[in-house]
Amino acid sequence: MSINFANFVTNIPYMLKGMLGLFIALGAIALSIILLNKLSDKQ
Amino acid sequence: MSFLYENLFKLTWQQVVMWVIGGILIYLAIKKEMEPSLLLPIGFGAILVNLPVSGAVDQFINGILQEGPLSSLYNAGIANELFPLLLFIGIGAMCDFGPLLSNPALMLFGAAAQFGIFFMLCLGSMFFPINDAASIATIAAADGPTAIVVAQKLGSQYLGPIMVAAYSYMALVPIIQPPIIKLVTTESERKIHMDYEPKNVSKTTRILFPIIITVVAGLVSPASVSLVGFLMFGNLIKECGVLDSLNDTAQDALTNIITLILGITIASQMQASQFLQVDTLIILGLGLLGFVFDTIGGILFGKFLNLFLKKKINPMIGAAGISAFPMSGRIVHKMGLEEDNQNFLLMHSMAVNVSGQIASVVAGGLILSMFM
Repeated sequence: MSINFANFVTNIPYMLKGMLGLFIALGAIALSIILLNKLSDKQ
Repeated sequence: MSFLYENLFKLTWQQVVMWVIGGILIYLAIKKEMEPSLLLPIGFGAILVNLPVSGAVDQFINGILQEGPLSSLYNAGIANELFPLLLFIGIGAMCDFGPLLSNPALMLFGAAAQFGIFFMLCLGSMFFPINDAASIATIAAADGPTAIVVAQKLGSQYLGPIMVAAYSYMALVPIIQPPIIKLVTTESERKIHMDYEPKNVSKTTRILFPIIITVVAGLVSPASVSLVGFLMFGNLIKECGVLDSLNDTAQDALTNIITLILGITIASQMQASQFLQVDTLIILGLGLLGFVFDTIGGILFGKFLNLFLKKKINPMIGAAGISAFPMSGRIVHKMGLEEDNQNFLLMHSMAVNVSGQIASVVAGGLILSMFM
């Protein structure tokens, strides 16, 4: 089996995209819940 | 009389090694009570499929295919990802998102604690083609169904080692996490006190939450809709309040039946010729590193936030963002009590733990979006 060290660097953009996508998705969910909680409190 | 012993001559040393591995998994399940519902069926199945010309799996005998039940079950429920998705209904029904709904900001810890997945993607790509590296990375999701679905959809040839690693490391979380948590935090950080101020979460919020999650996650990552959708469907059955018998079935009978079948069917991928490769050792090593970096990612996020917050967060709760529910949450709570027996971190760590469950599924969907 050969080890290709260059692949680690080549795939860093996927790591960054993945983490960014995660934070965006979960941040959007958190904001939705905060909004939902505020609407529920008003009722 | 030769028919009684001729099969014995077909036994290979590799099959005997798999018997030993199966025996170790059974020992861990029974004696150490480590995830027995998974490790025992996997362990016993490993022995079943590694008997010479085992009738439990498909065999070609005199050029004719003899179907084995484990292979049939594999085709019926794992090759099409059905079993892990059905299991997710039960898991969703068991999740209580109350503590998370009280403090939605903790959701971001779940995201941070998936760092190990994407770091392993990069590291794994040094050894494997990208689709296999992406599948192996999902071991760090600490979420068996997600790992199975992603590996299947990406056509990975390493489904067996991935499944064994994912479930084994989930069982080993109480051993893996504490030393890492202590390594990355200081004593004063571990002693940071966090008060729990429960907010009343309305029933409407609890009902709308799974629907909102499904829509948001589905829009960001369409490939995750099946994973997120089934998980949230289970949670909606529980929270709606009008489906008590379905809720009970989802939490008990459905979960138990699928777990039973899934465990022994996973073993159909543990035939010695497929499993005993150098690749398997590398995968097991990468999986362990993935768990380590998940833990570090969650904790470092907490430390980062503390640079800006007046009321500090105990960074240990970040470690609970790994999707090993509920073990990881309980470990962090226990470690908090060891440092200060008046510091009850349970509600915070469980909130982060369930956010990790959601985050791991979304992460799996993102991986599918990027590589499918």
